[in-house]
Amino acid sequence: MRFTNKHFITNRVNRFVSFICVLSLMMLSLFCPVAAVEYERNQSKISTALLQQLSSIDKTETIPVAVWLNDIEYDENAINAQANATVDVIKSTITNEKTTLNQDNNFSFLLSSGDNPEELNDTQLFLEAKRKIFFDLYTQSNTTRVETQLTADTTIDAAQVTWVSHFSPVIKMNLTKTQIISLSQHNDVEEILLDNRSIFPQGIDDDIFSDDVVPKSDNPTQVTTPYEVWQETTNITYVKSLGYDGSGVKVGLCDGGKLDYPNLDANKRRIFDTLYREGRLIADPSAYVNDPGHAISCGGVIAATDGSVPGIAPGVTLYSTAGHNRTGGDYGAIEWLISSGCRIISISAGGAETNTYEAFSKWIDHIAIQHDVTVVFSSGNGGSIGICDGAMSYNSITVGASDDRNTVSRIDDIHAPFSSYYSGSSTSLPIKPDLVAPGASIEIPGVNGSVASGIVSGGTSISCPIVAGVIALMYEMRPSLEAKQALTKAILLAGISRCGSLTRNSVAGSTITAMQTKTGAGLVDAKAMRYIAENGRFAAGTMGSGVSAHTTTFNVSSTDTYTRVCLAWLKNNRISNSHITNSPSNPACALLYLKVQAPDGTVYESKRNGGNVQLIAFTPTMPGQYTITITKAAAPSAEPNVHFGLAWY
Amino acid sequence: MTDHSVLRSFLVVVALMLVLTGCQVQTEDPSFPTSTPLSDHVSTTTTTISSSRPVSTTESSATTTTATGSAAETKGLVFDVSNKVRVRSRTGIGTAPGDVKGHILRSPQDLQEARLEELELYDYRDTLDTAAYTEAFFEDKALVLVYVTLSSGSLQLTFNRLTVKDVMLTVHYTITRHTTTVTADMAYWCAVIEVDREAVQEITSLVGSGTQVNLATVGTSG
Repeated sequence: MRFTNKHFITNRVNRFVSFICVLSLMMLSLFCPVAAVEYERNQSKISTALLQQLSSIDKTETIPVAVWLNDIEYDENAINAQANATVDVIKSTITNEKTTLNQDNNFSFLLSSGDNPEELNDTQLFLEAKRKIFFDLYTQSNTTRVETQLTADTTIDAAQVTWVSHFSPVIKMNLTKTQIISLSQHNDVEEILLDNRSIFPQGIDDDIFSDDVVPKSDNPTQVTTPYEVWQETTNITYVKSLGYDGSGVKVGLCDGGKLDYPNLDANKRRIFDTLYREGRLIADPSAYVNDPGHAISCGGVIAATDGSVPGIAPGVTLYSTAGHNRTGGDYGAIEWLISSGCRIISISAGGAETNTYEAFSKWIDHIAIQHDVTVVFSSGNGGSIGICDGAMSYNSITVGASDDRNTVSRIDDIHAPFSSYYSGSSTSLPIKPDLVAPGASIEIPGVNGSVASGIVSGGTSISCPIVAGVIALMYEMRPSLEAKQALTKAILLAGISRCGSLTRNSVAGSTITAMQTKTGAGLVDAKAMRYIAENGRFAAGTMGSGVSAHTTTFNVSSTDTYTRVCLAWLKNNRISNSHITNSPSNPACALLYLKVQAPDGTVYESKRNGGNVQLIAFTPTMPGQYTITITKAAAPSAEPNVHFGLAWY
Repeated sequence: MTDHSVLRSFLVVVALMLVLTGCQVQTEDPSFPTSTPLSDHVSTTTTTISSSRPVSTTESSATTTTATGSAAETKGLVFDVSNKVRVRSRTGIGTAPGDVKGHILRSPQDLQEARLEELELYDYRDTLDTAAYTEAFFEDKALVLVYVTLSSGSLQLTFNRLTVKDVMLTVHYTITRHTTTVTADMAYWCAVIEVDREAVQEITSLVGSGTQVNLATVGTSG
């Protein structure tokens, strides 16, 4: 019995131990994959480029990184309501006091830029108020997280924090390898990236043969397309002849150097004499002048007021910054432009033709949709090598270069061979560039000593500010468009008249988009843009979770009317939503389809299963009422609201 | 027997715990890829052109094939950088990045043609002090005129050396990239290099050979 009892007890012990073993095995099977997944997740939080860099540094060396955090939670409708309430308060105060505001009673604490509200229209007031709300939210959130979480939970010292974003959940730090690994395991961290983003200044005169360099000629030869020719080609001359000059619009220029007028070469700066004298050339006090040669060219295309020829929109206020050597790099520079109230930001940078949807593109998407800013990028000069970093962003307008062949005619224009385009195989990414503008050796505003003289320049660097200038004209015509980035793009891409190989027609019965790989929608056309903007041939709205289609109609009066319909929508890019539910490198974008039906039942469709633009172009077979239908094919559950813009020409 | 069973079970549990612990250790010590070491020499591109005027891409290809097939020795062609090379750069000109064009000028007439047709055209006419290049100069000297097109004004170009192999002259240059993100302006570089006439007497083709040095950290924007 005793034996039996002992045996019984032993059996019970054995069974218990076996149970523990089985339990352990179950735990192993359960937790090891979790641990592995967690390991993978932490590893994936560190970008590939940063991982490569970490492999070559020792433990004590620090490296600059950009840390992306979980985004703040906010209600879009509530933010808009708060911004509208702010606008009401400001407007009622102005009305009640019936007096001009002065420095002491301005509403700078309610507006991001501190502008005099009396000088802003309703759209601008709303945008300024909205940006200020986000500025406060992100500043508080990021600062708090730095102080109470990131530095408290790790060995990171507050002094290692080099920049805190005011408009996105991004913090920049100088960290050691160990600290980066530690930080990657923090729940609040979404991604850690190598921070190497800043546009290098032109610096083209600094060659090794410095003892023998012959200075540039002060009297350059006019060898290429004169200013008046390419402005005719793009119909900018026509729109300017109607009196538009971009007045009231703030345009930002992010470049390798800044346009700090007093510190510019006395001759070169002359093209901005009037702009500066009227207080419309404003330089970022935190940026460096560096070599401003490239910025002068790009800024001159947009806003030159003096010299040989005026810029496209000499009535704008031009804000100039440079990321090189600046705190926060290009991120910091762009945020300064946003906080200054810029509606358009022109970035003529290239060189890093990644051809991928990388970190800077993601950040641009975030900035563009959340802070209602139209970002215009050059596509780069790498041709088939691909699109430069940042310019693959869905919500930006990417501009390639065309060669006008020195003729006013648009029909003979071609794609400039150096102009970059997306050459990858992914069908989910957008077609880039979105459109093209002259950029193959053209004359741009310049000064030769005391004599006005154009200078020759080229590259997508020049194409980019041409489109930025045209958008400034658009915003002057229709100030409400400043708050509608999708519609801005739709108007630009629909507003294009025939231009030979740069455009192509849709085929009835086919679903292939009229966007082209190398040239997008075609050559920018200010006259067609103006026709759409002034005649209200557009629609914009939000397709929420309960809305799957939108229909509108337009009339065609003649069969020889080249007709184009463009649909563009914004990619929602709140960081947390995109990063937690999706791969960090591929946040979801909604998908819309576009259809146009002729009175006789003929159907044209654009159903590209990627990107955020659909385009239809055709020559109508009969006059009458045409019906446009937008269909929502897909939208991420976390971001069901799709902001779209629709334009027809 | 029973005790052994308990011990065996205990050991299994310990082993399992060690395995689990090992998993946790791994999460705290991710290994970094050791491959893809950073290298200054990112890429090397060679573009061929003809030395006979006018420049023709078709001609350059044919000439190169012939030259490459030769077993001739490659010789360095020394030139005095400080005194005999003139180089200029400017933005706005050029068609495709990496294009290299060039000529060998062997007489004042060649120089005059180049000046009128190219240097004038591309705003390089002040690059040369042509007065120095007389008939007497060309008795024992020649000029190598070379143009290189780059995709950005932020890129730095350095002409390094000349080498001769059979009938082909190679202009070696280095492109330096300081950061990954640069301005998107097309840039055009021109160099005029004085060489011994005898050294290039047999030259019928001119080739550019570029190496890119990347001073920026690898990767872009992350």
